[in-house]
Amino acid sequence: MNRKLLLVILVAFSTAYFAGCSSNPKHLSIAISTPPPASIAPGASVQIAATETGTTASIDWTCTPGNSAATCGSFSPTPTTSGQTTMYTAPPTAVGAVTITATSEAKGLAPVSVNITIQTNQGIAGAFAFYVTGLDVGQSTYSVAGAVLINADGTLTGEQDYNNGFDISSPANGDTITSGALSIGADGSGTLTLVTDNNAVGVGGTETFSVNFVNNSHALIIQADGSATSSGSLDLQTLPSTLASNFAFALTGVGPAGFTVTEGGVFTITGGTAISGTVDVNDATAATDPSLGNAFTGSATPADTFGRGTITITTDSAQIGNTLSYYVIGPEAIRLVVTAPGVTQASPAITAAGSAFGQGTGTFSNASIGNSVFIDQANAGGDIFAAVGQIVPTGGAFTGIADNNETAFSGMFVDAAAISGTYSIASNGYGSLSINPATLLDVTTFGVYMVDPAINVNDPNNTSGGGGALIVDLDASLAGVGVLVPQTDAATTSFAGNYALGLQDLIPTTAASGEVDFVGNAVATATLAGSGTLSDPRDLFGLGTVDTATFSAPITPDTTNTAGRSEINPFTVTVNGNGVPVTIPDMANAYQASGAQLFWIEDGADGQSSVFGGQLQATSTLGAAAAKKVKKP
Amino acid sequence: MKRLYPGLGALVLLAFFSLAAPGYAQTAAATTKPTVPLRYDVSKEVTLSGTVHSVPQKSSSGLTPDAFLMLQTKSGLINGKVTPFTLNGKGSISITQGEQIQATGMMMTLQGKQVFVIRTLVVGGRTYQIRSERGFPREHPGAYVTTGSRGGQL
Repeated sequence: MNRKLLLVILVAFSTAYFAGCSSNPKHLSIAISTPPPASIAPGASVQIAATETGTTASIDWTCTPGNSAATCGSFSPTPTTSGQTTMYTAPPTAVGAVTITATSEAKGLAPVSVNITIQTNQGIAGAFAFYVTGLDVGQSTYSVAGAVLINADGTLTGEQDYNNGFDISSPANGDTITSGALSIGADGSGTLTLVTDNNAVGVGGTETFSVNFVNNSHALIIQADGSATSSGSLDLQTLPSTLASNFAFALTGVGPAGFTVTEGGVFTITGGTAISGTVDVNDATAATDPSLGNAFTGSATPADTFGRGTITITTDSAQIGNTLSYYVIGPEAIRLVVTAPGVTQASPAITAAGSAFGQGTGTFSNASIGNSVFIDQANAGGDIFAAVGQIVPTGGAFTGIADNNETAFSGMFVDAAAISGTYSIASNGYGSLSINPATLLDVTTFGVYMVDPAINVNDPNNTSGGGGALIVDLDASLAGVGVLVPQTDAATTSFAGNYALGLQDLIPTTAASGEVDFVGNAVATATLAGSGTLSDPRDLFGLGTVDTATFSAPITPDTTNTAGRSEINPFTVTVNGNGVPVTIPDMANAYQASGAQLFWIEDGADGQSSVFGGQLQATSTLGAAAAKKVKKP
Repeated sequence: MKRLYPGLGALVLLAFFSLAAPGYAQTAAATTKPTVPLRYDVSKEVTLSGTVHSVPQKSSSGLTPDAFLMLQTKSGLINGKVTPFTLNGKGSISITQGEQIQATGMMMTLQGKQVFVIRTLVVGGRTYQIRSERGFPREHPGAYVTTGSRGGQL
């Protein structure tokens, strides 16, 4: 190396050395050694620490904005020594983003900062629509749909329509939800409390739901307050929304004569108000039922600020109901509930609820259905059953594998049965599917109503998992509703990770009948282990009306049938409440649309007198970062 | 790992397989289906009269297997199957032990038992339809009578 080059290197090295010393004298440094979590609730406290190198100078703690307990939080103690923790207490309100800064008193050492978000309920807030269907403590099938505006601090207001078709309903303009609160933990589970101006609903006008958020825009919910039990969904609204033109819909409930009713079809909204469509009805009464392909007309009013509007049926109202309320989730997703203002025991009315989903801009054909999984389930007012399975179409025919549990009445069930049949889809998405008789017991006929391939019928704000159809069971001896969704991943190895899960368990025994609903979360590995809330308003378990339930069950993939089918067996559930825990030796089987969406039903082989059906939905991390990815109202 | 009980593993395995019956194959279709699915058939209805031998009672805790409205008839004791709403909830029907009733329904074999599936009941001079002609249960059957007027225990 020549001397000139050596000199250049020495000069460059010296320049870099002294430049570094200007901001980091004597090789000093400071770092946040115990960082806070990404977000915490208002008023919550966490420990944080900073550690210095090359100095023992005190460390001062400050925050922005405002550097006060009210605006960004407080520290105790401050200053600290290197490595010593300080307790950071968040401000009492959900102020959002806060920057915490640790400043060494060592001269010339640059401060270090960390960001934290101060938010309630993992940042979940905004306008949400909800609906549930189930059975109240008086053994009336009932429906509720509504909308709430959840503030950043979890408080809320809203409106709803409640109808049990027998002696409890909302007035024509709905109930006002005057106050309430959402309260959830980091795992997405918690409660939604609605204080209404209708003393007949819930407990003295207050309804309590247990919720389990799947993501920032969607939660599985059950009513769990002793007055009633039901399962449904809570979904972020896009408001205002201009409704799409073409919809598929399905409703489940009980008719005015006290018999179960399920109905579904397609309709078109013209000019934003005029409705015309086709409906299939299975109302369990007339010998001519199911009644297929009935034309109906009606009109819709614009939605209000909560996304609530009404639909008046002008023809065929005898089957559908005179009026319905709808609650907007978005342009292509609305919840529907049949209303019955002033209903009395002397003049029962239909109660039913469900969903309508847009059909997009395309037309449909038999090719619109690919490999799919389905779930089909009765409501508590009907002959209890649940079926789940996979279909593999070829043109207008299909083969598949399915499970059906009809044990509640007849003791019959079938697991992993080979099924086959035919189906037909018209260009407007109205269709039907026939399963060859005696392969899936009494389940032989579905009405099929296709939805937009971009719409996830189980999580309408989810941009993946879309397509498929709403289905209605149109059998002579069974009535149910469900969904048919594309199966995009049948690999059972994808059934892994964190899930929110729910089930609606119908118990039709003569001595102690009713319904219990469960919502919770679980981790799927080689086992499905989790816990949650169980609503039991008729106290069938003798442990109180709201219990907790835990389970840990092995998951065994069905390796013979490559249908995305897994057996969850034994699915032993322990119910805890006010008394000695009750252990229920259930069995369950699940079919997956993908690793993110599965349907499961109780396996009739467990010998229980009940039948449950429900969903497992993969959860994502909740919080401010996630919230940015979903639509805002 | 030191094996303390070398024969224990085999015993456990033996016990497992002994107790696992009726272990239908993991991936095989398991079924209890009859060759023809059971449906309520109004054309096969019969009407019988009898005395209520016993009324299903709710147990103190936990779920119970389905129980029957036991009817003492001239031909013997009958397992009468009513609906979940017949004896439970608002608009249920009050039926007491020793009461004379008339029931219309059809005999079916359910879960291995001969059962009289009841569609209508005459109790205390009132007629209640508890199922539709297609066999579906009716909510609040006491709120309806077959003539269209209402009665019963509300």
